[in-house]
Amino acid sequence: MRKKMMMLSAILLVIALMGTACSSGGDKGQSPESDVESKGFTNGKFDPPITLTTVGSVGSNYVFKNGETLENNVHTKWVKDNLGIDIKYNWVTSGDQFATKVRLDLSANNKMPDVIHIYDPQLMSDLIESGKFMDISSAFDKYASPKVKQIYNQDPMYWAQVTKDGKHYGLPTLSRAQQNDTLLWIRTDWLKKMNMEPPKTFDDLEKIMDGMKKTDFGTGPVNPPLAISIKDANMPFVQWRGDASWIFGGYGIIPHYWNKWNGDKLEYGSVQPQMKQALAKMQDWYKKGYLSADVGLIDVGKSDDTFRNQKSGIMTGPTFQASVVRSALNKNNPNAEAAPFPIPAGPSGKPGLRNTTVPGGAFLINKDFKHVDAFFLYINKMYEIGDPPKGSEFENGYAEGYDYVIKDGKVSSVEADFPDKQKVNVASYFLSGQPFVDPELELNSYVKLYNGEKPSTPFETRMYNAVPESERKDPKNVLEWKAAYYTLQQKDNTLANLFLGPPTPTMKSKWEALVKMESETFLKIVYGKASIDEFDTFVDKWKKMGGDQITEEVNDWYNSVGGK
Amino acid sequence: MYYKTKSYRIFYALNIILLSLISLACILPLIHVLALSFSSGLAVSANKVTFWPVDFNLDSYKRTLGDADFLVAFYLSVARVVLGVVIGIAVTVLTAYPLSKMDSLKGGRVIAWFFVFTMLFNGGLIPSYILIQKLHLMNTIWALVLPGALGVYNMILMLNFFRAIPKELEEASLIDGAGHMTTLIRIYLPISMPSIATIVLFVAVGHWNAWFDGLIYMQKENWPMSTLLQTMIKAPDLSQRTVSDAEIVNLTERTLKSAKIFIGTLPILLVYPFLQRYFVKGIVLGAVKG
Amino acid sequence: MRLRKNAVLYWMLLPGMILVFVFHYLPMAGLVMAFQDFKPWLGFVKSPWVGWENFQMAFQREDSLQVVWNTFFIACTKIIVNLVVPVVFALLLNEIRHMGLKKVIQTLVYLPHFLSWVVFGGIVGDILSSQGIINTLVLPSLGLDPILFLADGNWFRFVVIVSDNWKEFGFATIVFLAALSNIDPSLYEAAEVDGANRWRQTWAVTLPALVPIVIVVGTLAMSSVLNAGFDQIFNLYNPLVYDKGDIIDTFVYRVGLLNSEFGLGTAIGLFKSAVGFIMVIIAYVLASRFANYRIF
Repeated sequence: MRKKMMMLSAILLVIALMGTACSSGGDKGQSPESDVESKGFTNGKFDPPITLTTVGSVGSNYVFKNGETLENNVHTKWVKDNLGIDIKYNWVTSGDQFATKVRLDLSANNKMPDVIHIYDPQLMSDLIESGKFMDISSAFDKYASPKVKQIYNQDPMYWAQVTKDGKHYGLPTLSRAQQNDTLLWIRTDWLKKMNMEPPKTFDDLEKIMDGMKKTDFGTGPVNPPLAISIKDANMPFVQWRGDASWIFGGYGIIPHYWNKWNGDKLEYGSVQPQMKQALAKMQDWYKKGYLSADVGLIDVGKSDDTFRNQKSGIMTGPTFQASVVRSALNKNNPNAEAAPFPIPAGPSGKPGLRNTTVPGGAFLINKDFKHVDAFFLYINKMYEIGDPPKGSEFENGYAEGYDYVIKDGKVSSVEADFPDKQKVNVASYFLSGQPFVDPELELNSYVKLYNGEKPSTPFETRMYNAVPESERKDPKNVLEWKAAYYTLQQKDNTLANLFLGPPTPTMKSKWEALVKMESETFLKIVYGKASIDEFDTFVDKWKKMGGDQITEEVNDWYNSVGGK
Repeated sequence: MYYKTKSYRIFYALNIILLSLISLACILPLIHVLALSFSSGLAVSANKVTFWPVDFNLDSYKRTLGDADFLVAFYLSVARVVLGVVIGIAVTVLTAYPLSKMDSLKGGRVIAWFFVFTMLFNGGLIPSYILIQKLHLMNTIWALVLPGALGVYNMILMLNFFRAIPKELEEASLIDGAGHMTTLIRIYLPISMPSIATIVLFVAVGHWNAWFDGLIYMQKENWPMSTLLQTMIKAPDLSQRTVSDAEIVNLTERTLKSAKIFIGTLPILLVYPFLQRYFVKGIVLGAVKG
Repeated sequence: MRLRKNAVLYWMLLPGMILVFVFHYLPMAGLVMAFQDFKPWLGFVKSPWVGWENFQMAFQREDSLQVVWNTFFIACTKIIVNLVVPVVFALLLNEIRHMGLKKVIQTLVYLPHFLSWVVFGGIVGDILSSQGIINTLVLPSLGLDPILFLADGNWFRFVVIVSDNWKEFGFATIVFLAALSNIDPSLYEAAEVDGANRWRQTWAVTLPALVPIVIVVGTLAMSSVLNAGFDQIFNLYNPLVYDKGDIIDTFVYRVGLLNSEFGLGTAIGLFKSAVGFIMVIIAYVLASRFANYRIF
C-alpha cells in the first residue's frame, strides 16, 4: 500500500519535473548575438539579412488578413526582402499589459530588445534611467537621411521627452500636427430647418443648442444637443474625441495643461482663476440639458454614439470624425447632413482649444545593438515611402488589397470597394504602429485639396482616393478637407501643454491624490452636486497638498530642456 | 405527504414563478450579447439591438472562426483545462483526504494553516515571473497548470465534504485490511461525486477563463483562447497616436467583440450541464451503507 | 499497524506541499518590495530600501480612511449578501421536484458568471443610464423621478452589491447544491414519519446539513474582507462617486498609472493580506467556539 502511495507521489513529481524538461526555455525569443557586424550593407540592403528584435502589442484595432500576424505580414516581409532587416518580436502582448511585460523583463534581467517603441512616459524615463539604452545623438547625425533630419529639426521640443542631461536617448515618433485639435461637428440639415447660422460665439451656440432641444426633427427628442464625454478620470476635459477643452479655451485656459496662463511661468491650467467661470458655464449647460445627464459616465465612444443615432446635433472631435459621419450617421440616415465648424469664440472674445502634442512616443535603442545603422535605414526608408515619389511601388498606398485596391482599373481606398469589405491599416504593422510622415504633411495636403487643387504627389493622391468619388466634385464640402482647413485656420487659437517630461518626484507621490480631488470636484460642480465656490477651496488645497512644489519641479524640467 | 397540503402547493407555485423570473434575469444579459453578435455593426451602434438580432448575419462568426490562431488557441485551452483538471483534482483530493482526518494526523492543523496562508499572502508578479523563468517553464503549458494546481479554497471544500462522510464507512474499510489509498479510491471517491463534480467545475472554469498568465508567460503563438480573446477585445489607448479611419471604424465594432465573447464562453458553458447530473440527484448514502 | 497506515497520509500530502512551497512560498521573497523603492533594473538586491515609506504614502493621505472604509463596507456587504442569497436560492431550488425544470433553472442562473465585468458592467451601465430601461420605463410608471444611479455615491454602492450578486449568486449556489445532494434521503423519510411538515423538515434536516459548508464558505470569504472587486468597481465607477466608491485596488491602479506600482502595490497587498488573514483566524476561532465546527 505504502509503495503505491509513493508511486503516486513520485508520478506527480515526475510530472512536475517533466515540465522542466520539456520546456523550450525562456530565452528562446532572444536574438542570437549579432555577429554580422562586419558583413555588408550593399545596394541599400543588408545581405545577408540582419536581425532586429523588438516587442509589440496588439488590440482590437488590429486587423490581420490572410493568416498574417504582427510578426509575419506584408510589411515585415517587405522589410526583410528590401532592406535585409529581419524584424523579430521577442514577445507580443496586449496594449495595456505592455509596460508590465517590459518591467518584468527588466526585473528578470532579460536582454532588452534591440528596438523598443514606447508611449508611456514613466516607462520611458525608467528605461532611460536603467542605462540599457543608448544616446542616439551621434547615430542620428551619422545615419539619418537629410529628409529625416529636416523633419526632426523643425522643433527642438520634439526631443524633450527623450532628453536627459542634454543627450537624446531615443528617437521620438511624431504624430500628425494638430491631429486631435477639436472642431464642432454640427448637423447642418438641422441648422437649416431652424434657420440658424453656424455658431461664431458661445452665445450663438447656446441658441442653437436651445433650438435643437425645442425643435422636432422627426428623429425623436434631441437629448443631449451637445455630445461630449467627461468620464476620463485623469483628464476629463481633454479628450481625443468628445473633447470639452474648448469650453474652457473660451475663457483662455485649458484644464490639465501646463502653460504660461497668467504670467511667464508654467502653471497648471485647472487651478487658474478662469477655470471657475468656465466650470460655472458647464454647470449651467448641464442644468439646461445641453449635455447628457450621463456626461460623466459615458466614454467617448458612447458620446459619439448619440451623434450617430441622431440623438445629438453637435459632436466634437478632430478631422478623423469625418468617418463617424460617413460610416455611421449617413448609413443610419442617408439624408442626414453634418459638417465641421471651427470652435466658436468664448467670453474672452477669442476661441481657444487644446493643442495636440506632436511627439507621441519614442523608439529607444539597446546599447548593445550593433546595427543602429539598420534602424536608421528603416526609419529613412519609412519616411521615404510615407511620402513616396511618383512611380514608387508605394504610389497608391502601402500594400494592394490592404489599404487600397484596384477596382475597375481605378485605385480606391474606400472600404466598400474591397472584395472582402475589409480595409487594413498597414501602418499598424510598423515598428511604431503608426505611419512615418512629416507631421505637417497631411494637414497641408488636405488644405490643398480643399482649395480645389488636383493632387500632384502620390501622397496627395492617396488622400484623394480615400474619399468617395461622388464627394470629390465639391472639394469645399469634403468633410476631411474642410475639417483640415478649419483646423489649420484655428491653429493660432490652440493652447499647448508644455510639460512633456516624466512625472516629477513630487508628482510620483502626490499627483494621484491631486488628480482625484480635481476630477471629483470638477465633476460634482458640473453635475450641480457642489457649489461653484468649491473651486476656491479646491485651489487652496491643491497648492498646499503639493501643487506648489510640483509647479516648481515642472518649471525646473522645462528650463532644463531649453523651453522658452 | 407534505407536498399535497394546500399551503405547500401555494408556496410551490409562487416558488416556481419566483425562480423563473430570477432565471430570466440571469439569461437576458447573455441573450443580449448573443443578439449583438448576430446583428450588423450599424444596427448595434445605433442601439437598435436588445434581445433580438437586427440585420441578422454570421459575418462576425465567420471572421472569428476563420482565424487560424483561433483554432490553435482553442486546442491549447482545452489541453490546459484537461491537464489542469486532472492534476488539480488529483492533488486536491490527495491533500484533502489526510487533512480531513485531523485525529490521525499529528501536526495536521499546522499543515492546514501552511496551505491557508498561501490563500492570502503572495509575492506578486515579479518573483513569480522570475521563478517560472528559472524553472524553465516559460512558454510551456506547465507555467499555466502547475502554479495553481492546488487550489486551497477547493481543497478546504473537499476536506469538509470528506468529513461529512460517515466514519463507519472508513473504519469498516480499514479494518478489512485496506490502506488509506484504497479507502480513498474505493469508498470516498464514489460517494463524493457531487463534491468532486463541483471542484472539477471550479477548476475547469478557472483554467478556461484565466487569461493573464497566458499573456505573461506564453509567446503569442501559444496563447490560450481567453488570452487571445482578451487582446482581440481590448482597445489600446489610441489617444496619442496617429489613427486611421479604418481603425476608428473597427473600434466601434461591438458586433465582432460580442461574437468573440460568445465563442469564448460557449465551450465552458457546456461543461456544466454535463456535470449537472451529479448535483441534481444526490447519491443515496443508505445504499452504500447497506 | 494503525501508525504505519497513517504514515501514508503524510505521503499523500507531499505533492501538494511541494507545489505550494515552490510556487507560493518561494516567490514570497518578493514581499521585500514593500519596503523598497523597487526599480526593475536593479532587482530585489540593489533597489533602495525605504522602510515604511510605501505604507506611509498609502495611509497618510486625507482620503485613506475613507478608501479603506469604502472597501471594507462594500466587501463585507458582498460577503454577507453573497452567502445568504445563494443559500436561500439553493433551498428554494431544492424544493423543485421537476428534474428538468430544476436543471434548466440551475443552468440559467449560473450563466452571468461567465460574462466579464467589462461586458456585464456595460450592460448594467446601459440599464441604469438616464436613457436606460429603469429611468425611461420603470420609474416613470411608478410615478418616480429619474435617478442617476451611477452618479450618486449611495446608489452606487447599492448597484455594486446588487449587480455583483446578480452576476455571481448562481455560481455560488453550486457548492450548496452539492452539499444538499449529500444529504441522506432517509433522514427526510424519518422526519416525514414523525409528522414533520416541509418547513420543519427544512429546519431539522436541510439546514443542519448546510451549516458546515456555510461556515466553511463564510470563513474563507473573510479572506476577501478588503477585496471589494476591482474589475467591477473599475468598470462602473467615476469621479462623482469617489467618496463612496473608491476602493483600495482602484486607488493602487490609479497610482500605478503614473508610477511603476511595485513598491506601493506590494505594500498595500501585504496590508490587505494581513488583515484578511487575521479575519480568517478570527472567523475560524469563532466558528470553533460558537458553532463547534472547525473547518480544518
